[in-house]
Amino acid sequence: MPSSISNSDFRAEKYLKNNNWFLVWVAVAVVLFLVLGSWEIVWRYRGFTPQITDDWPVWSAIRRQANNNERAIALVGASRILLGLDPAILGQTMNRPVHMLAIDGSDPLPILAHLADDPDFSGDVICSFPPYWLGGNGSSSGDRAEKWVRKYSSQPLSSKVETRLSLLIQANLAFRYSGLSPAKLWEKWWEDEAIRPPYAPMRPDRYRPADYSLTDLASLREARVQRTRELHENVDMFNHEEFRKRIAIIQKAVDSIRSRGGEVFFVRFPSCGEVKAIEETYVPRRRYWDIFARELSAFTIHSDDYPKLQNFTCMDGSHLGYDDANYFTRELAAILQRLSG
Amino acid sequence: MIFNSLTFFCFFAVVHLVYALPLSWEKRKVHLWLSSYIFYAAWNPPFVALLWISTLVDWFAGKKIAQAASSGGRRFFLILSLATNLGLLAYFKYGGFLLETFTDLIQALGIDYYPALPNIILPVGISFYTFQSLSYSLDIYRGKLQPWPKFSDFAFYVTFFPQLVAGPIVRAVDFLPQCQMPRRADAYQMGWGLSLLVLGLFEKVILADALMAPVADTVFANTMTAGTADAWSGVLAFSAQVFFDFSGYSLCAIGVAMTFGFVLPDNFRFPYAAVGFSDFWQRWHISLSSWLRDYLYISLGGNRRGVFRTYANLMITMLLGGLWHGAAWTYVAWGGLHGFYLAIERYLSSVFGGAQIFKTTLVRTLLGILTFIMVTITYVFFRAREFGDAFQLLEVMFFYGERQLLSSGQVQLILLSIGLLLAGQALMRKSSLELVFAKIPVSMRILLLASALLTLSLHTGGDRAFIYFQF
Repeated sequence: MPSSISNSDFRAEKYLKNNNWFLVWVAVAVVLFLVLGSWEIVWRYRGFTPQITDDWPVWSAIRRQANNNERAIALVGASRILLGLDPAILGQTMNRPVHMLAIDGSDPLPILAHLADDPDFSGDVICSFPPYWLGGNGSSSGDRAEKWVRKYSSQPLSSKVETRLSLLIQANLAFRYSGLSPAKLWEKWWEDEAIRPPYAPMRPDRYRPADYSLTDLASLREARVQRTRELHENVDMFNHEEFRKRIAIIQKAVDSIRSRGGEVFFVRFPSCGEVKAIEETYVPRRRYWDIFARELSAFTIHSDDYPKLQNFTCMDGSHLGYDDANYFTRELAAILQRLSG
Repeated sequence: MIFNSLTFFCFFAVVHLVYALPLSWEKRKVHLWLSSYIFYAAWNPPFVALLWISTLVDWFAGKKIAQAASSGGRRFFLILSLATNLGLLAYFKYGGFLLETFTDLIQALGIDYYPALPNIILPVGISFYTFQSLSYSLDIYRGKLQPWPKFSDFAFYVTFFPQLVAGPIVRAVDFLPQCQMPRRADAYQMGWGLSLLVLGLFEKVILADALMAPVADTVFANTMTAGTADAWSGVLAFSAQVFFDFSGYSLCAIGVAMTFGFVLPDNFRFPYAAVGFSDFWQRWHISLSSWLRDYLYISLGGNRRGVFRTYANLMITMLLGGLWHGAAWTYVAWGGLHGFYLAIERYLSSVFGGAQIFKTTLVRTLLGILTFIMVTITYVFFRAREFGDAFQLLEVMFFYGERQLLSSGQVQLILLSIGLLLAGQALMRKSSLELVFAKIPVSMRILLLASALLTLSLHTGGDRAFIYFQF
């Protein structure tokens, strides 16, 4: 290969030129196939299933699917709807495409506003929010939902293609779960921690069916109570003006979605035990939800008002397990169909 | 599109499939040329227009320089080429920086002036392709190259995707002759090219991003709370990160080009085994340092105009080299420090250069370690967001502070990795990656490549862009 800049080392060429490169690469492929195949089998055997690592490109891919279809239903909210409503079952029951746009631990308002402002979105919205959200000060600029919405509109083509390909791989290979990366496995081994499948893995449609038998329920419940208390202690207790302002913003979003033929349903998901008690103490229903439901011109569904949406034993106090979520989804679908005639 | 992405692998496979078709050499070159635009447009399609501007102006300027009857005419067209390329660079890369500097200066004079800062997006790779394209008109001006007869070859040279966004900066004189004869990779080029791609990805994804970046990011984001061990670990981690990141990119670029039968220049030769700064710059980002040497340092007079001008030329070259890396005074400081080291080294070698003691293994080893430490400390300016952070980190590096940011395991891991990196580079100092690879048994080569691919397949971290993309 004559060239003044040849990056071939002539001392090496004589060895490498005689190398049977085809066989080398075939051998590499065989080793790779065997090891990765075995690795996949090991983790499947240990209860791991393929799952998605949630991030803004994944969210954006689902968000894009909700556009240009008046039959689309967008699910907005945080973890309660992510774990509590199965888009596949809801879609099947209502015979409509359902898109999970909820983001764990985030403010639903930026996404609701984004759907309201997007002329390409003309479907319905089911929005869930935890009680403290009504009494809070609204979205902060650091909220994930706001960041993801901002990034959505400037996502380059290469990133869109990359997400599609990455989803395809993640949806089929259990070992691509981030908790099974060599670094994480090393960390767990170093700290002598058991390697267990996550109790609420994310499916490719961004639904997270929760199986509480896979987790230490007592500590999860304790952590949930602690977290709920922290969140509620930070609530700016019944700032009347902020609350009204928030209702007005939501109403504007609702009106905008309705102007394109869509409908918005606000759903209060069930909570149980100590979590529910904290919620009732800090954000009593009559001072928040009832006013919200009365003043807002949109459908509001409080799980306590519907016998079939009550009496769930949310294992961690705040979220439904997958069996309950299946049941809840079917019952909610029936209520939605009834409400929208 | 970045090399460490699934999109790139699909793109690479499709481009190879078409390249393998029984088409004429002209068609295959045009295919690579147009594919390169797709590769670049994947980031931001409108910026392809900048590539066209650079290509058209240098093509035109090159022709006119060769045709001009007078030296004034030749100079005019060279200035046109320089003004266009450096103008693009000045606007897109340095526009905001220049305005900010001007504003600071005006305000220091007591004048209240607050202009709206421009929101300019930096086109990826602009520093690389403008320099590459410029080398064509500069070489024609210097009589080293005749204007190339085919525009499509020249446009292909400017845009060839493996090296388009982060080098190596290929000279026209080295690349264009490769366009004359039909090229297909033989088994050796294909095999070794793919091996380089895998090794480059391993350096980037595993060593730079997974191992080093988290430590460097933590320390440089928290300079106020860093202790001495944190600071040293963070700076050493960045030293390794920037090497693995950029060297990894260069290996990928060289490997990908090789699979199409093209040769790109080497960009790194075990730089952390350098003995002295002059040696370091002959091993680190070789395509840029040789570009700066040939087109800037020598144009300024090099060492031909007396001692003072030699030192001044050295400083100017390194200061501008620093600025090339980024639009911030911290980069200028980084370049300036390297210029200072080179000047000191030049002076010392003129005084003590002949002494036998400097040729002993022990002294050369100590000088090598000193070079690495100085290079690493100087990276503080390269990586820090601002001077305050840099000085804060330097202070804690030399005056004891309790470790607060990193675990002892992380510190040990970084020290071990740096030790291995230095030992490895020192052992391979006079060799090449290719020779090292060639000397290991075939079974070990298979194991090495399979292990690298295996680790890449299992790694699930996000895809970080290459550090040098921002330059």
